[in-house]
Order: sequence, then structure tokens, then C-alpha cells
Amino acid sequence: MPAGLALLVGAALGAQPLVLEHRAFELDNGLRVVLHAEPRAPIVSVQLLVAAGARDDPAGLAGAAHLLEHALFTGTARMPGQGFDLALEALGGDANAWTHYDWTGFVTTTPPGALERTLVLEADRLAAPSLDPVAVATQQRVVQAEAAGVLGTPHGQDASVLTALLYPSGHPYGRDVMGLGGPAGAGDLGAVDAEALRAFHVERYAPSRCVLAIAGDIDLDVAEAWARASYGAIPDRTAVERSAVAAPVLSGERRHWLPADVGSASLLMAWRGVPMGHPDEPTLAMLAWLLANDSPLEQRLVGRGRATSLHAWSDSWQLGGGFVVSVKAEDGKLERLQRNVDRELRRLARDGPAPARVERAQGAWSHRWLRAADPVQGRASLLAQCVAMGLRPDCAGDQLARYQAVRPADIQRVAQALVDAPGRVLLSVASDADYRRTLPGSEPVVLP
Amino acid sequence: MIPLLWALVFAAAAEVVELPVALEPLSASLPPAVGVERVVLPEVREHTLPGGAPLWEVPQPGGSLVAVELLLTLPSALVTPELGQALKLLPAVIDAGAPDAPRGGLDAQLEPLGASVLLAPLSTGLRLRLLAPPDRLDQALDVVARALADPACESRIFQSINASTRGAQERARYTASGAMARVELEALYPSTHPLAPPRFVPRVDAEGLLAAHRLLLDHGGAVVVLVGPVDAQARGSLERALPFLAAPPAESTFPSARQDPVRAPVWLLEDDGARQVRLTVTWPVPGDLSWAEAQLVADVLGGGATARLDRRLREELGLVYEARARLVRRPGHALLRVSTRVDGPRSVEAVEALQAILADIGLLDAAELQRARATRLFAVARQLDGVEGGADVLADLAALGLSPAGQQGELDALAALDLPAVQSAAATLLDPAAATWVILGDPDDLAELQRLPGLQPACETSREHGLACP
Repeated sequence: MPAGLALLVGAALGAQPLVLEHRAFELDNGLRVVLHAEPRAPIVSVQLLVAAGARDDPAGLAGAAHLLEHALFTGTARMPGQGFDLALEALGGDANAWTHYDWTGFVTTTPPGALERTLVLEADRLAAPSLDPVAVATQQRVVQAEAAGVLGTPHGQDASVLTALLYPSGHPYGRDVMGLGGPAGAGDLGAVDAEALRAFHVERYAPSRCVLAIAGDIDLDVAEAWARASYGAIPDRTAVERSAVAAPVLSGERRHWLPADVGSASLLMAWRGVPMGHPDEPTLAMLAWLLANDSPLEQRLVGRGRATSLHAWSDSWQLGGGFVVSVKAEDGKLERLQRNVDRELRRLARDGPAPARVERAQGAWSHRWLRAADPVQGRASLLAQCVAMGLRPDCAGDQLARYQAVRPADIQRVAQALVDAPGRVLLSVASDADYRRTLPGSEPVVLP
Repeated sequence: MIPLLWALVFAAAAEVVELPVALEPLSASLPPAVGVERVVLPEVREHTLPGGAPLWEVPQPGGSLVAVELLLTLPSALVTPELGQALKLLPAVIDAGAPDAPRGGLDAQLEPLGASVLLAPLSTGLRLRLLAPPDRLDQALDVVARALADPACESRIFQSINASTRGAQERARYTASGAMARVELEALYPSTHPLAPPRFVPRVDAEGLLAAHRLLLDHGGAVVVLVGPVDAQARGSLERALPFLAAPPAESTFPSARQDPVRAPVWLLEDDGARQVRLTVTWPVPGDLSWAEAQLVADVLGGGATARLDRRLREELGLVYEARARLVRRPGHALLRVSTRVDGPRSVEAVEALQAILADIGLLDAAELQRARATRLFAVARQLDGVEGGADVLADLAALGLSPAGQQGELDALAALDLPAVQSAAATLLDPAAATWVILGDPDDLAELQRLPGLQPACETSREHGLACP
């Protein structure tokens, strides 16, 4: 039995260490398990990550991964209909799920005394969902309502449209997660039927593609025995290889206009970022923080009333990433905002950030990591993600250390890389009435 | 060894939770499980700060952060519309820091310490949450306390805050959700109520803002919550940093929502081209119903995936992504609100189904009640996960004028409620005559909805101008 491990990180700034003691092991069928005992609250968080997401949707079946996530709540051969939710809620438990490009996650919280039963229920729906055609058709309509809600929210679709524009030409990240279409064309949700979901489940939901994290008020030995008994009974099977399509080079500056009923027009400036695990992942995240938080750029734009908000962030996924600056303004040309952002990026590339600013950013990021790891549910999520990324289960401490190690010269280097980038996407989001405020030469984005 | 600060009390095994017969055959081989029968809140150590403010302390060893949450409030009788507007601006002023704070205010001072602060306005004051590493708590508290006692409020800062806050308020009036919330508040509260939306956003100058701040410190009072790996040193830091906080005002008469009559039962808001119809249905909770009764009615109706709304509207009919019922608890009163969104062409079908659910709610059964009770009790346990959650739960209590002992009593009462009591509460609470419907959608969809019985508006309503009742 593997011994419990612990990691202490965080010498810089006298930061608090991020310690996640755990026990990790692999079942005979390839499913990886990580356990973390934390008795501060009488709850247990059970999180299952499946290495199957929207990027795995078969050709012509965009939305399959997300629809399967919904369908896994609609019954199994041995527990039909809403039996899973009924059994879980009778004990007080709560279940939810999410789908992204690379992974699908199933998140359940349960009382400690209900853990064994919860694991049996979870393993049952992972192993043999019934995928009844009527239930699948109902969930198609539910997904359509979910998507309509996103489309009806001001700026609700900005991020997915931007990612599709950053990864065009058939790249898996260009697909709409819900399968309703996007800049690349109409959606396929209507074509995703129960049979397609069954094939997707068989090909993509093999135990060796799954990571199970259990954290909370548990006894490690007992939880391990229950995990082995429930999930270990699922037969191993060979999963289809995941596509790892290299993104074609993004060349030139691509300007687009997303017509949308939004109160304030916004400009999103996006560059290709780096995949997760890349050495520059924390450096780009820190650059984003430095650009938008109490920065000279924020003073110029928001402080002087030229913009109502300024945000920047860096996303990293398995096959790539995105670095985005977003500015909103009630009036005035968006081009002026773009010039200001570009000027600040060039300044950072030329002069680098002040060391005190970098130290402040490190304090802010250190705080974010500790905050994420404080509740039991956050700990389960961090442990599962680390294992799913192929890293040590306690990689959160390593990640924090990487942020603490970033130096001003690193920031300067990645800022220069953005300035020199061969291509980028500039997306204006504005209503028809605000068309004149968008960047000149912007090509309209047509959504279904 | 980590002391057991609080616990769930579980019933003895399998006989507590009876799985429906329909769940066979897996149900026949399911391992025994222990459901939640009672939640025991964490032990709260009560102290008093030098100025009289109560301090609720919950030691939670083992974490890397300490949470300090503070509610600073005035008696509601003192809050005029102008003062209410000033109170909305006050968090941003305090966030800018004391006069000697660097540009960037509190964030610039706290982030190097690995700490953060969140400030939010209340209708009668403000709420503040500080998160800090235990060994930096003293420094972080000093930064926050100086800003709280003596905010700079220079004209440059004031103008920026005033403009951005007013702009955000104006924009919120015209968003779909902002317009719906405003109409609901107008419909449910008398115009003199602190929660009633002002007809206009009053202008506040820097002097008025500083006067509001002075009033809050001189005539208001606070409850302070401390959660995390705390000790006497942490308590000493609070005593040193916040000696100026008095006890909260005795608030025995916070005005209630209007009970009877509702000004009009149906409000329709046009939103040209909207793909979906959004709707809320709201009931004031009658004063003779307890929190436990009202909460369980809300949970049976729309508290989870197996509650009636989601089961019927989502899982059976595929009409909505989500339909929920929430108990909105405010000082002195509560509202039960149902909310959902549905694609325009299917809105008539959805509203008919919703009306049928509401008509049948009194027929709830024991299994539904068991799920609602267990999920509600366990939801409290989940909320208490982590120092932020623990501090939030206690601060929410303080905002309602409740004590931890009071909430324990309420949770125990909820655990003990039987089926006839909840059936009776549902019939009382979900009185169709007391419901206020607010529906926003494309005019064509609204026209179709008005054909349904009971959905004819009595007043003209517009997103721009609010209500125009006879």
C-alpha cells in the first residue's frame, strides 16, 4: 500500500505551505484513485474526471460529450430513471457535472455514512448507463434550453466564440461544447442520438481514462476498500486513442465582430497561449494579472473613465491555451482601447514589471491557491486534476512553487513573445447600433 | 488530534432511508447507508470586543487561512433613500484605503501579505470579509481597520467611485434580470421600505458620504465572526484593531414585505427578440409560518434534482435547463421565489405545467419530504466546508438578527417536522391569490401567455419606467 505523502512548498514571501496529504493507487482496470482524509467537516467529496470532452466529439456529432454527461443522470440498467438522484438525495447528497474540451467531471458530495453506497451508485452509472432513447431526446431539449440561456445572457457566448476563432480550421477546440454550432458552422446536437452516445461511452469512458478523488471525513483504509470493491468491478476495455491535433499557425491579425444585444460594447484581444504544464503557464497568468490589476493600463482606461472594466486571463488546456485581454466601454471607439493595451504590452516587453508589482502578484496568486485548497471540495478537485494531468497528486504545491519562482525578466520575455506573436484575434462584441464603434475591417461572426 | 468541533448526527443504518421499490434490482444489493438526521453546528465561542461588538469565534485547526467576517449596520429607521445610496458607495470608498494607503488601496496592501478582502453593501450598512494567513492576520487586520475607521475619500477617488457605481446601477435597471428584480421589489415592498427600489438614484457628494460613514460608526454596530486556526493571539489582534465597533442596534421592527393585498399579481415585461421567456413567481411567507416550514415547502417544490419542478419541467418534459424554488430570507420576513427560463415557443406549455405543479403541491408524500429534509440539512453541512463557508454561515445569521443557538433550534425544528405540518404549510404559503408573477419575454410570447387563466396584467410595465398602476 503506498505510503501517505506530503509536500511543503512556499518559502518565497514567507507564504503558507500548501500541504495535501494523500494516498494514491491504481485499480487493476487502470482507474486511478486518490484519497485525502480531512475531518474538519462531516462531508465527503467524490469527484470523477473522465478524459473525454468536447475535443473527442466524433465528426458530425459535436455536443456528444456534453449530452452524455447529461444522460448519465437518466438511469442505468440496474437503477432506472432518476434512481441515482433519488437514492443520493434521500441520504442528503448532491450531484452535479460539467463538460469542457478535455475532460468531463462528475462531482458528488455525500455524508460520510453514505460513502459506500454513493460509490456503488457512481460506479454503476459509469459502467452501464442505460442511455434510453426517450431520455436522451429529452436531454437534447434540456441542452437546447441550457444553450439558449447562455446565448440570452449578455456576453455569455464571448469566450466560446473567441476560442473557436483562436483555433479554427477544424481544430477540436473550435467546436461548440453544447453542439449548437458557432463560427465554424451549424451544430450537430440533433444528430447525437442514444446509439451515438453508447458508442462514445464504450470508446471513451474506459476505466483507464478515469480518475477518482475522494476527500473529506474518511478513513483511508475503509475508503480504499470501498473504491476497490465498487470501481474495481468495472471490466477494463481498450479506449480509442485521443486525437492530439496540432493547431495550425495563427497568422496575421484577424478582426471579427460578434453582433449581440449587450449593454456595453467590449473588445477581446486574444493570443494563442501555452498548454497546461508548459513552463510559461504561471508566467502568462502573472502577466495577465499585472496587466489588469491596479495597473497603469487600468488607471488609463478605467480610472479615467475611458472603459468600464478591464480584465485579462490566461487559459491552459491540454492541446493549447489562450491569453485574453477584455475591455468594456460604454462609448467611444474600441480601437482606442486596443491601442492602449498594445502600448502597455510593449512597455512591459521593453522595461519589464517593477519587482514590487511581481511580488504583489505572487502574493495574490499564493492566496488563490490556498483559498482553492481550503474547502474539502476544492482539495478533491485539485487532487483529481493533478492526477488527470499526469502529474503527482499533490502537484498543487508544485504549481504554487512555480508561481513563486517567476521573476520580472520572465514576465518581460512572455510579454515580448505576445508582441512578436505571428497572429492574434481581435473580437469586437457590440450591438448592431454600436457597429461603428467596432474595429475597422471586422468580419461579422454568424451564430446559429 | 483535531478536535471534533461539530458533527452530523446520523441515524442508525438502513432503516432510516428506504429506497423506492422502483430502484430494484441494484437497490436489493446496495450497501447500508446512514442518512443525515440532524446537523450540529460548530461550537461558537462568544466574546465581546472592547467597544461592545460581539465576537463569534469558531476554531477550525488545520487550515492555511483565517476568515474574519464583519457586519456593520445601522437601525433601519435611520436609512433614508439618500443614506441608502451613500451606503451603496461606502464599500468602494473603504476599499480605496486610509489616507496614507498607496494607489490600489486595500488590495495593494493585502496582496503582498497573501490576504484578500471583500466588501459589499447592505441595505442598512456593509459587510466585510477578510481572508489572511494566520501569521499575517495582525498586519492584515491593521490595514483593514484603519480604512474602516478613517477612509480617505479624496475627491478623485470619490468621483471615480460615484461615477462607476451610478453607471452600474443605471445599467442594471435595463438588463433583463435587473428589470425583473426591480419590478419584483416594487410589487412586494411599500415605497418607504429600505428594500424598495428608488424611483431615481439619489446624488451623493463626498461630504454626504463621509457623513454616512460617521453615522454608521457612531450609531451603528457590528457582529464579528472569526473562523479558522485561531487562538488567543488572533482574538487579541481583533481586540487591538477593532476597538471602535459597538454592539449592533436592536432591530425588532425591520419592516416586512407587503402581505396583503399584493398590488397586482402579474407583471409582464417586453424584451423584443428574446429567445427565452424568464419568469419568477414570488410569495411573501406568512408571519405565522416558521422558517423550517417555509424552507421545506421551497425544497420540496424546487430544492434539487428530484424536487417537483426539475423532475417535471426538466427531466420529464425537457422544457427547461433548471427550475428552482428558493426561500429568500431577509431581516424580519421571507419570500419564496420560483424561477426558471424557457424557450419562447414552449413557454405556454411550461407555464401550464408549472401551474399544475403548484396546484398539486399539497399532495406531497413522505419520500419527498425525506429527500427535502436530508438535502437541506446536508446543504448546511456543505456550506460549512472551509473557513469562508463557516464565516459566511455565521455572518448570514447575524444579518438576520439570529444567534447560533437560534439557528440550531431552527435546524432541529426542521428535522422534526412531519408530513401533515409541511402539507399544511404548503397550502398556506402557495396561495395563488398571494403570488406575484413577473414574466419577461418577446411580446409575441407574452401575448400567448396572456391567454392562460390568471396571467392578465393589471398594470402597464416597462423596463425603462417600471410600474404604472392605476
